Amino acid sequence: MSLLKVTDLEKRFAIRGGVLRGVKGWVQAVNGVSLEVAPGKTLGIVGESGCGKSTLGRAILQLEQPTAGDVEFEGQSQIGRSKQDLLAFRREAQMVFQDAYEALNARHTVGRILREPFEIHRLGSEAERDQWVLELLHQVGLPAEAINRYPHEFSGGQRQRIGIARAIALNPKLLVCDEPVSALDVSVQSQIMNLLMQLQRQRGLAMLFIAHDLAVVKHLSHEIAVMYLGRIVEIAPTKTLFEAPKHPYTQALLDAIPTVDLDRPKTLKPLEGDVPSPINLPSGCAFRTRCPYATEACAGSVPALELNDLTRVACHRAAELSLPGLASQTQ
Amino acid sequence: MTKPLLDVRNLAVSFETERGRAAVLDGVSFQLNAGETLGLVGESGCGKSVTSLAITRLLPKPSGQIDQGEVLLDGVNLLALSPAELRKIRGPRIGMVFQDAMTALNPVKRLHQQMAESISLHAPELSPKAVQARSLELLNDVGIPSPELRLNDYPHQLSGGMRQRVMIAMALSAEPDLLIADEPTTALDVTVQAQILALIQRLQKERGMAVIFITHDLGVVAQICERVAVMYAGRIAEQGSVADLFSDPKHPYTRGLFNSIPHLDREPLTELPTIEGLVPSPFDMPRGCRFSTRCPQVTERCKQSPELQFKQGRELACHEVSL
Repeated sequence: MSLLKVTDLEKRFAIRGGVLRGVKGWVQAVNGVSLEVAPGKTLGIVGESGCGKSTLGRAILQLEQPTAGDVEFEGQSQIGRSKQDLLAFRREAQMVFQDAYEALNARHTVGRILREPFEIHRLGSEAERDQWVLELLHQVGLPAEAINRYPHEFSGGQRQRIGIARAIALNPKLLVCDEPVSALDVSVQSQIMNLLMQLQRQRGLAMLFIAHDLAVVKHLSHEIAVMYLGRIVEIAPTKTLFEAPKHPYTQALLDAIPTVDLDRPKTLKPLEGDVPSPINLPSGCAFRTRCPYATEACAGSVPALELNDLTRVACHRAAELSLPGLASQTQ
Repeated sequence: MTKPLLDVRNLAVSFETERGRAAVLDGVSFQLNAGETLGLVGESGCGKSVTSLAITRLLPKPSGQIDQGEVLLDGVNLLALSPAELRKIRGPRIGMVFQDAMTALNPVKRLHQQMAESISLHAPELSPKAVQARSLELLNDVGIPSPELRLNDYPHQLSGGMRQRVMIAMALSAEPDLLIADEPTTALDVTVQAQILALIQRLQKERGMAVIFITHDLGVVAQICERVAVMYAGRIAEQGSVADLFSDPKHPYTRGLFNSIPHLDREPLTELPTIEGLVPSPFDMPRGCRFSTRCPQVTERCKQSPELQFKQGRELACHEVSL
């Protein structure tokens, strides 16, 4: 059984304007997303800015109230619950943010930040809590002295370690990581990625790993979902997605990665144009305005996610296209 | 041997701060020939942006100070020029593109006003009509679709990629010999980044411009640069042609950097090699080699600054590894 099951999740935001602050339109940030995460596994979510990947993460954790759809955790729906009712879910499903500096209270010491989850959930005695905090610091590779220091005294990578320590404090089963390494330098990025993989192995954590960097997502994920304008356009096991992508957008993302591999030089084949506005979505397939394979039929209806080998793909032409995948880089 | 277009010699820059002086650049030297593309790579705080600001004399004043060195553009030392003379260099000789086009463009002026400003500054003789024609030509050249419809827009009406194209058009307006691009694609999505990289590559070839491309992304360097200089803590650790340096990185720092990138062909979910520790603070630089505090090959000798080694167009600053 899957740990997390998301069904037809939607989140839209109202655009208000005018003197009476009336609703002038809607931004369809997440538009019917379904996915499952198995215990101990990582599902990577990739897409460009504005594709709804962060909103999806927040809507799953009920930090944003979804407009429609269902989020089931261990078989129980978490939609429409009161704050009190959500406590159990919140204990099991935690979030790691991109900007650890903004996510940590600048006026609290690290010790107080890490003690807080235990206080909220009324766990342990004072002495036990102190002991747990020290264990957490040790687990994420920070010295015990960190306990009396403030977030600003740490570097970006160390702050991300504090953010991760807080997220794993209550021994959750699911971690939603929203761009946790994109603000970090490469040498520090690999340290944090190693830490996340190590914690997953030790604790059997399931992860939803949201990022725009395909190489990072590839390294950490068992399965990857590609989002474009609020929808999943393709979801497949990591290896399959890179070797045999079925959606033209996935192929475009692969083509756009600059590679350091000089044995496999490639000419960049950029997609034309920009991502359309999520307020005024194109009819039919949202990708058709930039898709090199688009036909008239693509404007007609929104393609559904359909199973094609190991992949589920939402493309009218998926069956006829044969995309080269990462291999296209070899010349 | 041809004379280089740009010759940076032993450049040192420091900043005056509340905590005292921070030496941010310490003896940076490199050369760039006409029409060549050089990548300046390194992690945040390594001094790559400060290098470009020092070359163009745009360091924040009064805190930023050039302590020593020379920046020779066709033999003329830019560090000795008056502000009036510098204005004749910025634009016609050196064009600049910055990371954040939104803050580099004026938010309350329409594009045609901003374009006209940068065009007529260096060509005051042009009539308004000619300026308009030139604006359209430049915007067309950087791949903005139907530019005549865009001229009346404000910067916020454009997407990030489009704004970066406008920035590039303005930097090219006086046909510079050297374009300095400071992280021009870092804030952009991958598909848009690919568009901008392809654009810079095309313009560089068409115009025979030299380009200094500042980035933290080794993939971007491999994609568009001929030569690369790897910076660490205010010094150049290693430089050479991209082909040589990427196929056989010598400096322990460069090797660490290459290893820690999640390459696409690496087996997923395996442990990544890392560089232990943190970049040293500019107030507390280690003596001798600045990478010595994190280097896996450190020895007693590393307490002295390493002599530069030169061989077949490569340059390396390390005691323990030889070219």
